Formats: sequence, structure tokens, C-alpha cells
Amino acid sequence: MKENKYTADEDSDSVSLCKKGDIDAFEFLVKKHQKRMLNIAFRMIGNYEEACEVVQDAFVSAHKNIRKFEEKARFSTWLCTIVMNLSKNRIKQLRVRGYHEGFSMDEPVLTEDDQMKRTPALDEPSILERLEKKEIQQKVQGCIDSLESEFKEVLVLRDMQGFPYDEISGMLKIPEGTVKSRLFRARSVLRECLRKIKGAF
Amino acid sequence: MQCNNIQEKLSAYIDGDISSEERMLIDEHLKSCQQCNETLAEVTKTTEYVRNLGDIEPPAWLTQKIMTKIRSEAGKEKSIWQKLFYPLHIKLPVEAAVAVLLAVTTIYIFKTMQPEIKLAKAPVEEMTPRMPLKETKSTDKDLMSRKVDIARGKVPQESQHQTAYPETAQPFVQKEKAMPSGGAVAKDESQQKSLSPAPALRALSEMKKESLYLTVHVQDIKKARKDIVKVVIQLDGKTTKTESLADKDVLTIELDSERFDELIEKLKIIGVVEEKERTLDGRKGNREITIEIMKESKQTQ
Repeated sequence: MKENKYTADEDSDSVSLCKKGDIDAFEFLVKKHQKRMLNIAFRMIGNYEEACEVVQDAFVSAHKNIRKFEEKARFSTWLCTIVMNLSKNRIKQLRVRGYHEGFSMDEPVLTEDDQMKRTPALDEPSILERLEKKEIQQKVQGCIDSLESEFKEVLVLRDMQGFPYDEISGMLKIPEGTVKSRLFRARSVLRECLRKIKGAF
Repeated sequence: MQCNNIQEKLSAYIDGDISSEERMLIDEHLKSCQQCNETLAEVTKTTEYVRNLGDIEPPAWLTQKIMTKIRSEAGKEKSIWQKLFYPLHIKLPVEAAVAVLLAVTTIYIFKTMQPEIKLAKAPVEEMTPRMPLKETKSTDKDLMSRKVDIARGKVPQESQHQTAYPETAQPFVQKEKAMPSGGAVAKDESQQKSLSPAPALRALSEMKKESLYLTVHVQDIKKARKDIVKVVIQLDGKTTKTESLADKDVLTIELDSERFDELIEKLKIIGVVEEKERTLDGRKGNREITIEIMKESKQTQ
């Protein structure tokens, strides 16, 4: 979990360089934030490739609109808002295409590291415990995927990215009370979902 | 406190987002309630699962791909600026094309309208030269149109002439306007068929505006006409047109200008000759003469 304390934006120098048209300064920001943004997008969408696409689009959009960024919030927060919006749009698109038809307990969602490690894991019983943990993680992701976007986003921002309530409220443009109640709902639904998973509790 | 109420607050409880009074109440409840303790454990575990999902690593190419996109976007933006800064690149050819189109359209419209203008002007313009020419043979349409062209060409000269000699030009114009030319044209066409277009053309070119306009007052119009035709033949001239109107006959003849006086002398024998118009340049060659044959009584009336 990352700490987000309200301090002056450490990216402000790079941002002002970007506003002057410094592409290298923007590259620095891309390298710095891409991982976190990818994680947010991935937890929202549940698909690695789609998440990568969303992150690309988000950075391109951020660069295009950097002059409109008023620096009232931190750059990372602003960027996160873009990723969030694009992720939600992508989820809608995928739903329309019938690509993303809810969570299935029988077909665990594959992540990239899962694809790489699965085969050797089967041959080594010594890491069986790790594998079980991995499976639970997949199922947790599956449960998260099954959440509605409005609950998922607060869960991702609060429990995974550790944003404070007021920042989440600003990002999603909803009152803090709503953030809290949605988080409660999200956790409750997720808990119900995890109860079905053997060995989760 | 009810279990339901407690469970609703457990989420906030684990976040520490709760007042100290509420925390105390929940702590008190949890000491005695097994169900709520289980719920708390599950809520805590759920949150832990979510928090411990772990980070995924971005692909190695991600930064490069993002930057490639951004650089190409920046390139596109630049070209848009260039277009805005150099509007002439687009505008100049467009303007040129519009100018050419406009010119072509204007010419086309002018050309399509021209025949109408010709038609509108023709009667007025035709009249003035026809007077001296006096309905030269117009056997075919081609000739007719040539005649019109010549007539048109003559208009400026005619007007110059009129300003120079207003007292001479004015009367015959008025006279012509008074004549019912429409019917006459239709009539003479049938009479002129025997004449070939060649001499007519020559005559046209030779005669120009110089002409003689005579009125002969006679007793018997038909007889006088026959006599005049004979006289013309005697003088080596020829009758190019014969018009029979209600109260007069009009002859158009071609005659050598040197024999004009001879003709007038002969005509005086036939009737009373009145020279209405004489515009001659004194040059030799065939000229057109218009002879009006009228009843003597009409003159007196």
C-alpha cells in the first residue's frame, strides 16, 4: 500500500517543463507513474492487455491536456482520474462487445505473471502453498471484477492505492460520505464473494 | 447496539475512520458477540486480500510505446499549426480555382445570352441599314444572318453619320419606321428566289450606306412599276426586290451610280419624281436605289 500524504507535488517541476513542451520531462513522468497507473487500470478492468492500452491512452491524453492541468491536485492524482475514467469507459465498451461477461469461478482470470509461472509451479510440489495463494489471489481479482464500477473504483483507490477519502471524493466527484458508503458496500459484496472460495476465510 | 448496526460500521472501524465513542461501543460489543467478531475477521481479511493482491509489472515496451504515440501526436499538432499559420497553402489554389470558375461561368452566361440580345436589338438595328440597302435579297438564312452582321457592324458608322448629317439621316429613319416591314419581308422572299446569293453579297459589300431614295407619283402603279423595271434593264441595272403594299409599290434596284441621273430623267417621264434621300459618296459602281411608286392622287391628298 502506498502512502499518499498531502504534500507539495513532487512532480510540479516536471509538469511545468512539460507545459513548455519538454517531451523528455514527460517521459520522466511516464516512467515514474506508469506502474501505478497500470495497476489501477488492471484492477479495474481485470485484463492486462486492455489495461496497457488504457494506460497508453491516459498518458497521451494527459500530455495533450497538460496545459489545462491547473495543479490544484497532484499530477499523480490528476493522472489517476484520467486512468479511472478511461478504464470505466473501456469496461463499458467491453461489456457492449460481450467480451467481459462477469466473473466465472471456474475460469480464473489470468494475469501475466500467472501465465509465466503456472507451468513450472505444477511440477514443483514445494511451492504448492504459493500456488494456493496465487489461486486465491486470482479469485479475489475475479470477485473484484464482478463488482460494479462504482464500487470497484473506491475499492481500488482506497484499499489498493491508499488514496485518502477527500482525494477520492475529488477524483470521482462524489461526496466523501458516498465514498465511505460505497467502500462499505464494496467490501461487503467482496466478502460475500470470497466466502464462496474454499480456504479464503 | 444491534449487530446489524455494528457490522455496518466495521468497515469504517478497520479504517480508523470513526469517532472514539463509536469505537468504544463497538469494542464493547465485540467482547460479547461471536457473530460480529467473525464478521470483523472476514472484513479485515477481505481488505487484506485486496491490499495484498500485489503489484503487476508494466511491460518493458510500455514507456517507449507511450512516448512514440506522444511524439507522433506532437508532430500532428505541429502540422495543424503550420496549416493555420500558412493559410495561403490551401487558400491560394482554392481562390485561383474559384476565379477561373467565375470567369468561365461569366463567359458562358454571356455567350448563352448573346443570341437573345442580338434578337432584341436586331429589329432596331436592321431597320436603319435596311433603309439604304432596302431589303437586299435574302434568299437563305445564312445570307440573312450575314446581312444582320453587316448591319450590326455598321451601327456605329450610322450613328456617326447621323450626328454629322442629322437633317439627312433623320427623315429616312422615320420613314422606315412607318413602313409595315414585317409583311413586306415575308412577301419578297418568295419573289427573290431566282436571285443567286453571290451578286447579293457583292452588292452588299459594294453598296454600303450610299443610296438613293426616290418617290415616283403616277396614275397607274402597276403599269408604272413595269415601266420602271424596263427602264432599269435599259440602264444595265437590275431589280432586286419588288414590294406591293396597300397604297404603293416599292422597288429596290441596283444601278451604276453614274447612271443615276439618267434613271431620274427616265422616271420623270413615267411620273412625278421626288428625291427623298440621297447619300452618295460619288464613287463609281453599283448602288442601291429604292423607288416608291405612289398614286398621284395620294400625293395631293
